[in-house]
Amino acid sequence: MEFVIASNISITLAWWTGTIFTLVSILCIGYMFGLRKWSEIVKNRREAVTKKWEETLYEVTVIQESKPLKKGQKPYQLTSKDKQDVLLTYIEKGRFDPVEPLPNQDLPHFLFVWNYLHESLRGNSKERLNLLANDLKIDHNTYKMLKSRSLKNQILAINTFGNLREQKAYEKIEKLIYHRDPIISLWAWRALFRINFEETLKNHFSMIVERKDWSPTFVAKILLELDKDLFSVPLVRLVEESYEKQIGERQMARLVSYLTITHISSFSPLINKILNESTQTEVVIACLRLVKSDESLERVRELIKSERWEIRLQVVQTLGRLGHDQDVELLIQSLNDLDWWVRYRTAGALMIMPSMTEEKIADLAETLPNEFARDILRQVLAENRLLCLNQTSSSILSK
Amino acid sequence: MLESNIVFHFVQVTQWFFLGYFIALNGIYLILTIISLNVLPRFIQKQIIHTFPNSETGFEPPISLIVTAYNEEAVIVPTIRALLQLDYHEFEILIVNDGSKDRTLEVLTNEFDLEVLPVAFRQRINHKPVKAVYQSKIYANLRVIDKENGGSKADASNAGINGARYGLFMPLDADTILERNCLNLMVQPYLLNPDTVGVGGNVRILNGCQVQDGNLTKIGLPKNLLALFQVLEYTRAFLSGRVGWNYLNSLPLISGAFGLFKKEAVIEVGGYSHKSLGEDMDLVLRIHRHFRLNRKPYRLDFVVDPVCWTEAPETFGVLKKQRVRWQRGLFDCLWENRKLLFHPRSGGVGWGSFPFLLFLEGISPIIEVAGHLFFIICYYFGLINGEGALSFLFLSFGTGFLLSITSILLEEITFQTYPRKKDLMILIVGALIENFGYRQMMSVWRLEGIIKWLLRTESSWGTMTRNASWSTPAAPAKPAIPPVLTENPPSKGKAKQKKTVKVS
Repeated sequence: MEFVIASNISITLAWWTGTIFTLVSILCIGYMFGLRKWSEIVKNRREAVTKKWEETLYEVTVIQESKPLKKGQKPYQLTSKDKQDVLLTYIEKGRFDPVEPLPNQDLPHFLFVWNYLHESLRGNSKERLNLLANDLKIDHNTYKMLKSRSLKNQILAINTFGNLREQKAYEKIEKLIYHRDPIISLWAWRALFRINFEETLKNHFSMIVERKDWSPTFVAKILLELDKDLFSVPLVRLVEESYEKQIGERQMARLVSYLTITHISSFSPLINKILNESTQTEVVIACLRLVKSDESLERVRELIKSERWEIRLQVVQTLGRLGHDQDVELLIQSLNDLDWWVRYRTAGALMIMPSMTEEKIADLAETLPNEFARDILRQVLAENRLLCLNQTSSSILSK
Repeated sequence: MLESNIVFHFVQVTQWFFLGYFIALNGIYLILTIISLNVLPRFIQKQIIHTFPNSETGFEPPISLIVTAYNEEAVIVPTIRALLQLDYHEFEILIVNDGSKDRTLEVLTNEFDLEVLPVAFRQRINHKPVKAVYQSKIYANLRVIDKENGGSKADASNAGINGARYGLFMPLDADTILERNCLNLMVQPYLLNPDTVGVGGNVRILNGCQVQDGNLTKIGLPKNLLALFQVLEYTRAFLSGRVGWNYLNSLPLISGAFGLFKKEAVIEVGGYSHKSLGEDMDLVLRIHRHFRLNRKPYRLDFVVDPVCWTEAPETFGVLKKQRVRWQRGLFDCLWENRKLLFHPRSGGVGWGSFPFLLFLEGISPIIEVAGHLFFIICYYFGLINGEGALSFLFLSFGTGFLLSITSILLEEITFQTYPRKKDLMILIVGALIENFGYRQMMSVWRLEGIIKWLLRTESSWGTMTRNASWSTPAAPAKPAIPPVLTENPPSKGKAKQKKTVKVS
């Protein structure tokens, strides 16, 4: 055979591709071991920083809080180790006075522990943490972290400035609320509130409408951290403006759901208005979840005829929550609903109506003409008997 | 001379065909890996926000965990105890006893103090009849559906979906170990995008780890070589494949062992298919087909950090059956959902992941086995010299090695799940030696799966023995959730080291 094809181009290609891939694999292996080594260095550094600071920070922020001692409890005694570290300085001088600023490479690890404690604690402890951070002169390097390519460091820096309420950082962080990454922008928004509440409320509160990519859970978490006395009215105003601008259904429903975090008195009239006017299913559902007064009762009763089962489901839950005896008949009729969920929630609503007793419901479960209605009542009665009627979901976004 | 020319051209054309196929298949794998290398580090960095203390807002939707159980008396109690300790504000556990022949129901009744609940059970999707629904008197969020055996996980899952009280559900196996915060992480895509209908998470191999009371207490690599190779396969599939396809919005599969679905969407597409051997992939492809072809907005997502641990087969027999079934399942799913292929409205799935699964990954066993045979025959008849055969073998090895190594690299960059340096060494050695025999063996088994699918031979789930070496005897544990009623203290069951389960 003449065509023993060692020089064939396909074979050459195969050989060289195999060689290149193997070489790349070897490089990757080398890189992995390098990475392991680097990870070990970082881990050791992190552990050293944590060891040095964690206990100290904890003692300062938690144990030194003036709390009345329980009977028989001895006051905290400083250990010999305590006396060797910066805690002694704090105890003696009333503030930290480390000899040197925190080394640059230790900063991210320190900030992680520092931020973790900041997020966990309340009151004076936070002030003490801030005092410590100022003494350690961390701001210069934290500004550098704000521009870091590492998202982790960026988030840490944003959070640090927020916790420090660092006014000088406000402008820099303000730019980050337009960052394309929703996590960075959301955390920047949170930090701005901590640094300057009034300014942020005035200029950037509407971001919750503009940023559709923000997680509603995180927005809710941030709102829960704020003083609801201060943001209830602006939030209701923002929802009203957005409603008038006719923003998208989904975004509007989200906005309405945030009202649950505010004072009921501030949003009730607006909810009543939206409920009466809106035809958007998601918005109506969000409103129904917030109905807590009789103002909207007539509209709620009308909605029981809605074609959407999701709306009917919210209606029966709302009627159960409001608890008017005249709605018992309406609820009994809803036990005939075609949708299982509506029947189930209706039975649950009947159970909590003030005028309904377990005996009355048991009677209904025997006498109602509709077999499905009887079945669902029996189920809910049994669940109630087993003390497991906990299915009235606490979740705002659940069905 | 003429004959020689014909043979010469045939050999050349065939060589180019195999080379072209090889480049296409592995090129896509490499592209997916490169995407993951770009996406994952940024994603992981952002997860720092979940390490800070979090308060619940009430915005997180409640979840139904559906645990399907068939003859699981040995493992069901520790699994459920571990699930009860999950860190999430509102969830229910729905155990579906799929006509077990052992004492599964009895063990559950004793342990969780079950009582029959007269449930108005609605059957929106098909499954075998439900015999009874039980409610735990100890845990308000624990129920058991006792049904007739349906012969498949799909049937049991459908019963669970019908009985679920919440809008999101997670199907689980009775021996699945979940990390405690996984529900919080899995639910995030639903919060960000209400069009989300399914979310997949990361599945890892439990062999070599240690589990006590259903909680993972030590992470390690399996000593068994087959299980070790599967660690590499799972790493490739999840960290590279799923992340890559998800980035391209073309996720073709959410693992049946670990996914979170919107109940209404699954019911809309008819629930799990009883016919398919790959019911998890079939469900995902049907969701794609239904929503895309009907122009309905939806999103299937994959999140890499919530992790579930599951046991891998350690014997040739069990592994072979699993792979043959997977391959048949793959073709079942592709055939059932063939409408997606190059459909004008099928988007990234119909033009990306589906053709890839069909033309490259699906038929790869045929090409690979044919390729190996071709080069052996050519070499034997002197149509190709040693250098030529070696070159192609070298290419095959180099590509396989690179793909495994880059997956390990992804693991190193992100989680470093296996912390010891020795583990890294073992993984690298595993990536090297799996090219000599294991991959070829997989190709042959998968080819058998294709043949059986073509011949439509009888298929069944069967029962197989697995070695639950990761499970350590249960220690008495306090329930994390305060009991509702404590009049009848539960009895304690003992975990066994050997169990017989259906392999999924």
